[in-house]
Formats: sequence, C-alpha cells, structure tokens
Amino acid sequence: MTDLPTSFPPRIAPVTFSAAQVVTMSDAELDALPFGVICLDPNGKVLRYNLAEARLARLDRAQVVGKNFFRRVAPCTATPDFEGRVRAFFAGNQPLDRFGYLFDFKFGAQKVDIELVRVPANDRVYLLVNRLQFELPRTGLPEGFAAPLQAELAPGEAGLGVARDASARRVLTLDTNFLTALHQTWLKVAPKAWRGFTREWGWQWGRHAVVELEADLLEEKTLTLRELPMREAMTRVSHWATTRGLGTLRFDFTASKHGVFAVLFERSAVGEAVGHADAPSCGLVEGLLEAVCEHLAHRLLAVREVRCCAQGFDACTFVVASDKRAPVVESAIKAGAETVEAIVEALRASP
Amino acid sequence: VPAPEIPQLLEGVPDEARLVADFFADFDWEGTTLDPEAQSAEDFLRALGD
Repeated sequence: MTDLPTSFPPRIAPVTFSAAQVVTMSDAELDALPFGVICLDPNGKVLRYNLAEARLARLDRAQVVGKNFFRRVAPCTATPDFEGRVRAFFAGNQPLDRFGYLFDFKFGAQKVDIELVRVPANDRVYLLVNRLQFELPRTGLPEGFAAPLQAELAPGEAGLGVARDASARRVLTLDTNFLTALHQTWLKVAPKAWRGFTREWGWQWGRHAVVELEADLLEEKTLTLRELPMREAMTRVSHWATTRGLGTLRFDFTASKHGVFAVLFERSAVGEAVGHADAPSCGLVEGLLEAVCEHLAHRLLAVREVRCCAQGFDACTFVVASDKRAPVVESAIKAGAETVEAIVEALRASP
Repeated sequence: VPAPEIPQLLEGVPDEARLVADFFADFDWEGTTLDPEAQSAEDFLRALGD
C-alpha cells in the first residue's frame, strides 16, 4: 500500500487584491473572492462565473456558463448603459472601466459597482461586481426585463432530483454514513493521510463557506464579517454549522489574553462518523475553522484539535493561535496536552 | 514556603491600591489585550500573539 502525503504545501498568506489579477486566477481562486466575477466572450457568452456571483444572483453556475449573459442570464443588462458599455470596452483599448448600475432580480434589486477588466488577447472581458445596496424588487418593469429565477433558468429540475435552498444553492441531504464511508476508504487506501487530507478538504470547504457567510451578511446588513465584533462573527459561523447538522460550535475567549482562544465542538458529525480513534481526528473542522479565521484576519492562523470526541471526550476542543505558534501547539498535543490550559502553559514556556 | 495569594496581600490595603492591583491581576502581560465583544473580528484575530 502506498500512502499519500500527510500534509500539503504551506498556504500563502492572504494578500491585498487588485482588479487586474482576476485574469490569471484559477477557478478556485475566483471562488474564494467575496464579490462577483463574470467572464464574457465578445458575444456575451458566459465563460466563467464565480461562487459569490452565483450566490448573490441566486443562480447555479452550472446553468449559467455557456449561456448569453445579456439575453438569458441577466436581461436587465441588455441596455445601452450596460451591454453598450461592455461592447464599447471590447472595441476600445483602455485596460479598465468602471460604472454603477442597478441589477433587477425578481427577488430584489441590487445597486452594484461594475469594474471591467481587459484580457491582453482581448478575446474576453472580466466583470467584477461589487454589491453596494440591496432593495425590494422594482415594480412596473417591462416583461422579461428582470433576471430569471433559477427555477425559470432550469425548469423542471426538481423532478430530476435537484434540491435547492432558499438562495437557490443546490443542496444534498446526506446521512453520516457518507462521512463514515469516506473515513473507512481512507483507512484502507491511505491511513496516514487522513488528517492531512481532511485538513485540506476542510480548508477548501471553509473558503467556500465564508463566501456564503459574507453573502448572507451583505444581503442583511451591507457589512462584511470582519467588520462585526469577534463574538458576533463567530456566532454566525456557529449558526452556519448548526443549521447544517454538523453540531454546535462554542467559542471560549477566556484564554485570549494569552494570545489564543478555544473552540468547543459538541456532537461533531465529523468526530462521531470517525468512531473510535487514539488521536484527534477532526482535521475537516480544523481546516474549515482555519479558512474562516484566515479570511477574517488576512493572516495565517493555526487551528489545532486538542481533544476529540473520537477519543472518548464529551466534545472536541480546538485551539486557535497564530500560525507561528503552531509548532509549539502541535508538540504539546503530541506530548499529551489535552486541555487549553496545558496548551497555554506550553506556549508560555516556549522561548 | 508558598508565596501569599494576592487577596491575602491586599488585606487592609486602601481601595485605590486595590484598583491598581486588580488592574495588574487582569493585565495582559503577553501583548495586546483582546476583547471579543468590542473588537472587530479582523482586529481580534490580527492581534493574536506570535
């Protein structure tokens, strides 16, 4: 049996963003952005459509990519002020253009700021969509002007086994056998890689989760998560987990004067699916929380599980610390530390 | 001989001095004080000590 790597290359710390960067970004990188990105060819066909845009337009990109943006996806943009501006941009040679617009959806209007970014080959254009304000649907619009709902874009999909939530995101209803089967598969093919794999999987999942959390908050308060008080932001993360049946996350900041804080995860679906284990096994949750915290902080952070329900404890306990302190935290856990207090002592004792 | 606890040391000490002692008892000796209720998520997480 050949085992897979137990860890992945270190991540690059989040950096500030410039509009021109989108043209070289991978799909995964575009999906991590908290604002909409749409890539069109000269005829208006959608080539790329990121996660934030799909969430805020309440459309499934699987149904959007390949369709004409102005005619099928967003007829409210088939105007001289929008389509005309995009076509003029294609015909011109300036690298960037920027203008305001009002998107009309049937579920509401959205005041947006549009930034156009040229690709050197001039065979496509990127639209960066920054939502500024959410309003009630406008009345008296011409028939067919507002963007179609997902149900109209893909009629009859419910009969084909497609389920969606209130924001038109496609959802799966799975029992925890799915996680158990995944764990058992990894134990069979790559037992040492389980922790590394799940940490990376959780991190990628967390990058998507924060886009959903940001979109929910933007619609509600026109704020970003990182602007909320820490406890309120974490309460929203906890709500996100609870409503998905993952368990209950509680945040304990009593150790924060030592530069760390704790997260307790009760009834973790991940930990319970693993069954019995001799070591902390919720790498998925570590990665998930790490991605959320890193998004909020614009810096690398480490989330490490100190003890796990799979080891027989009542709840899983995680410590969140600076990434630079991760080696000390990991050494302490390997040496048998099972409490936040023991981790704090190890950090205090380290040079 | 174990060192006396702060409450023992404070017996008979005036209130003003107690306030100073209380402040230092809760003082963050390792860096910036973190407050999850008052600080934004960004500020809080950026202030976690290295």
